[in-house]
Amino acid sequence: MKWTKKFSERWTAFRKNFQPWGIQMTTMASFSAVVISIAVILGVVLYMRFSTSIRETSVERTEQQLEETASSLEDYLLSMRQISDSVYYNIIKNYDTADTALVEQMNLLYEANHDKILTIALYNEQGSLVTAQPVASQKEDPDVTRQIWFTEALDQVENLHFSRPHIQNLFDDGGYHYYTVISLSREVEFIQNRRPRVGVLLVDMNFSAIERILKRINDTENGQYYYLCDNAGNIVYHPRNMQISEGLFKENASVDGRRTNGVYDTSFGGKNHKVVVKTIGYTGWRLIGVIPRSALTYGTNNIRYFITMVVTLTLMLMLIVSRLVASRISRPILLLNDSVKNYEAGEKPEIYIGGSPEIRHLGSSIEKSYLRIDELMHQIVLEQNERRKSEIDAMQSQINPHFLYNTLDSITWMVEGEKNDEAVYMISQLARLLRISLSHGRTIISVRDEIQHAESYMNIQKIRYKDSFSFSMDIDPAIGDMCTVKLIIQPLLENAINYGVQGMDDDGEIALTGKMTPAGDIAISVTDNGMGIPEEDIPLLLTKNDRVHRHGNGVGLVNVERRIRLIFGEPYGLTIKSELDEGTTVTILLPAVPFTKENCEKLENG
Amino acid sequence: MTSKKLFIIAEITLAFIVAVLTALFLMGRSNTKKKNVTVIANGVKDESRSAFRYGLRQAAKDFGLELSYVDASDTRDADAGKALLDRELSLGVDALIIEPGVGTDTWDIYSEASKKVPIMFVGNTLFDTDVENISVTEADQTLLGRALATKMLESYDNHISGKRIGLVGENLSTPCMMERRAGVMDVLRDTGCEVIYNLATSDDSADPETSLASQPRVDILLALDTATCEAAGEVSFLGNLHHATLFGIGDSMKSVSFLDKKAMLGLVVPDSFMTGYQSVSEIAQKLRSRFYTMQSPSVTYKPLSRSDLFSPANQEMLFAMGQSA
Repeated sequence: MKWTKKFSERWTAFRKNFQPWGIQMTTMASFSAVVISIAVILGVVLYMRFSTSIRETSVERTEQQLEETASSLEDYLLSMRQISDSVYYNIIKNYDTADTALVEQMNLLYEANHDKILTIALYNEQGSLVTAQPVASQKEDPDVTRQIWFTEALDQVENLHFSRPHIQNLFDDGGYHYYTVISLSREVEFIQNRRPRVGVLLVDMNFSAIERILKRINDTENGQYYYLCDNAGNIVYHPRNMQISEGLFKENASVDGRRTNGVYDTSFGGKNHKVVVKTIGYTGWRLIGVIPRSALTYGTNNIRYFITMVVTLTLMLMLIVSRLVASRISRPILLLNDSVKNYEAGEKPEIYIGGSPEIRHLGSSIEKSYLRIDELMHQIVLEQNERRKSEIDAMQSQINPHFLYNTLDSITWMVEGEKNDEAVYMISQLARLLRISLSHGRTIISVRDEIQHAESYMNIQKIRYKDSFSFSMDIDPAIGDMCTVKLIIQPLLENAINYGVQGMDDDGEIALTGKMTPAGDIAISVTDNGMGIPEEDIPLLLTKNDRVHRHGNGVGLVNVERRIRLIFGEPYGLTIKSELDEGTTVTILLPAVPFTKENCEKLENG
Repeated sequence: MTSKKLFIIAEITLAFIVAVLTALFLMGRSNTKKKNVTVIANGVKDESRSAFRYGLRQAAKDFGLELSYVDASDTRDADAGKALLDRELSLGVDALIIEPGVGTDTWDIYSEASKKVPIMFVGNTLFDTDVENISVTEADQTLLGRALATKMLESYDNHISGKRIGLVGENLSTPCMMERRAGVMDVLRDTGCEVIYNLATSDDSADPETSLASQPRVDILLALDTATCEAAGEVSFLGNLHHATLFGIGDSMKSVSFLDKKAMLGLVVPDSFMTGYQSVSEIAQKLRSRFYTMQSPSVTYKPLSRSDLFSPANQEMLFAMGQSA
């Protein structure tokens, strides 16, 4: 269990530390994996096909060889039969054995075929030699009646019998040679001294003829060989007959000799073979071709090396190609990556734009993004500066000292004049105004508070201006609980007093309205019936243009517009409508944002 | 490891594999050339050595070797033997199978050659194998002698008391012949027979047939090798052996024919096919692996009588003896 835990820990550490491959490595590895797979599969398939083809060709060649050899053997054995038939039917049946013509005829037949046959002999059923060609002295007591060719001929009367190869033990040629023969024997009826007799006709074929036929096809280097056996599995010819008899080699003749014609897969002596069997006519012998497994793969070792060599060379080449291709594909991406890294390190944003259209698009998009980021950052800094400046201006205006002095002056005058009620009223209105002005330092207050601030301001101004103008308010209660920037109505009212109705003889009217627009926004309007503003001056009022004459510090409308837009955005702010001698309406447009803690925080923080 | 390093390692590995495969491929093609083995023996191409040559040939085919024969009959002394060896070595022979002949009975002429190529001795060894640590393929000579004497005793129902025995061999002083003779004497001891003569035909300037015909009369003649078997058989066939019955050790068809013609009553045939086959087999294994230690295989023998000469059990043996070329 300890080692499992250790292994698990190591595996986890490996996975943690494992760095994913770069794009070039991944591309190269993918190409290489595909190439290796294809090359190996191709090599294996080619080799297997080639091996199969060799095996099939070997078997076909063996079958062909067997056909040809079997045909040669059958021709040879047929000629032996024909000789035997000829001796029997044309000579023995037609002549008395005492007749010299029989001997002459036999001699003629022998001479015509002496290259194939060693002896033609006729024996009676006691095993005594009747006649033979070539003429030779018989060995003393060759014991013919115990020789297999003789006994088989008499046992199965109708058939011709082919013996297995053996040393001829019949005649003494005066030399020291012995011949290996195959005996063709048959029971015959002959006339001897005019008496019908039964005997055995023997034709001894020189085994060397069959040996020659089979030696020719056994001259192979790959271990393949052919042998001849009878249908009981007794070997007639085998290239390793001596080795078999000495126990140096084993053959499966007892099994293969009993097979019918065809190709067989066998296993013998721990080795696999293919065995091709062909039956020889007239004898029932089997001509057997043995193809050891090593023969089927003979010469394939070199082919195996060759194919593996070619596959390996191909792999080497394809690795180089895949590296070049991977490098070409990944180079623009890597250059792009490097340029992004340089930018992140603080250098100038010179993003690489090159390579394929996709990489170019990526590069230019990244470059645009970085430029846009710079732009936005710059804009944010500017806005933050503006906001700070506006807030400072607002702060500055919220504690306008002149208004405070004048109001306190008025209060003093009221107290001195023992107009205490009016003084109390003025003080309460001033307190309310100042409370809302400060609003605990907040920028966002409710519309209700802002209206109250404006109302307090106008209440103070009306007293100061001795009710020289009228002030009305028409506020939709629905907008009271919405958010607004503080101190935006008071500057408009101040302008309406200073530029609108001041100088008018009790005719001045200032109206404050607040409602929801059809679009769901808030519109707060200050309208006066003053002298109006020239049309060309209206657009300039919301700019810091010095051409327009301003009272005081001159930041009122511009400040209000800026602060509204800083908090609520571009669509909102001030609109000014004015007609000369008719009056002016300045409208504040705000979004309807409910006055909640979250909304206030969001708006305060931008 | 960077991709470049991996790439270089992969290329080097593949190049190494290609180099190895190329070497194997070229080696495979060059290995098709067969190794050459020279057989040096007296009368190696004679008909009497057919079975031996057949064994050599079959083994050469089985083990993929090329054979060449050199008749050492004219090699009479150490200098000639050395010259013969040096010539074969200069021709680039890969191994030697040698039947040491008369006059080449010193180990020195073979010691240098054995350092260069593997050498297998066959039969008729002249050397004390225990001392020289050389490989020899042969039948047990003592057992051969015993088998010959036993065959003779069987023919006489073990009653040879008072019989006169003659022993003949080509060269009775070689270790091989001495062992055979010793085997014969082992069996003849206490049988009551008398060994009248031990004839070495090589000591006599006359031909073996003349030498034999001039020997004192014996009842039984034992020929200890093929050459004297054939010579004695010839004499016996012609009726000049003074009615002596002949038994011999021989592996030639001629020896067999004398048995067949009743000129000989018994023949012990060493398995010359196996002598040839086993000698090549050991050489082949040595050529395949230089670390292989060659063995000294012992071959068997077969005692034959005329009655079982052509039995199925002896057909292959006779077939081997009848092989030409």
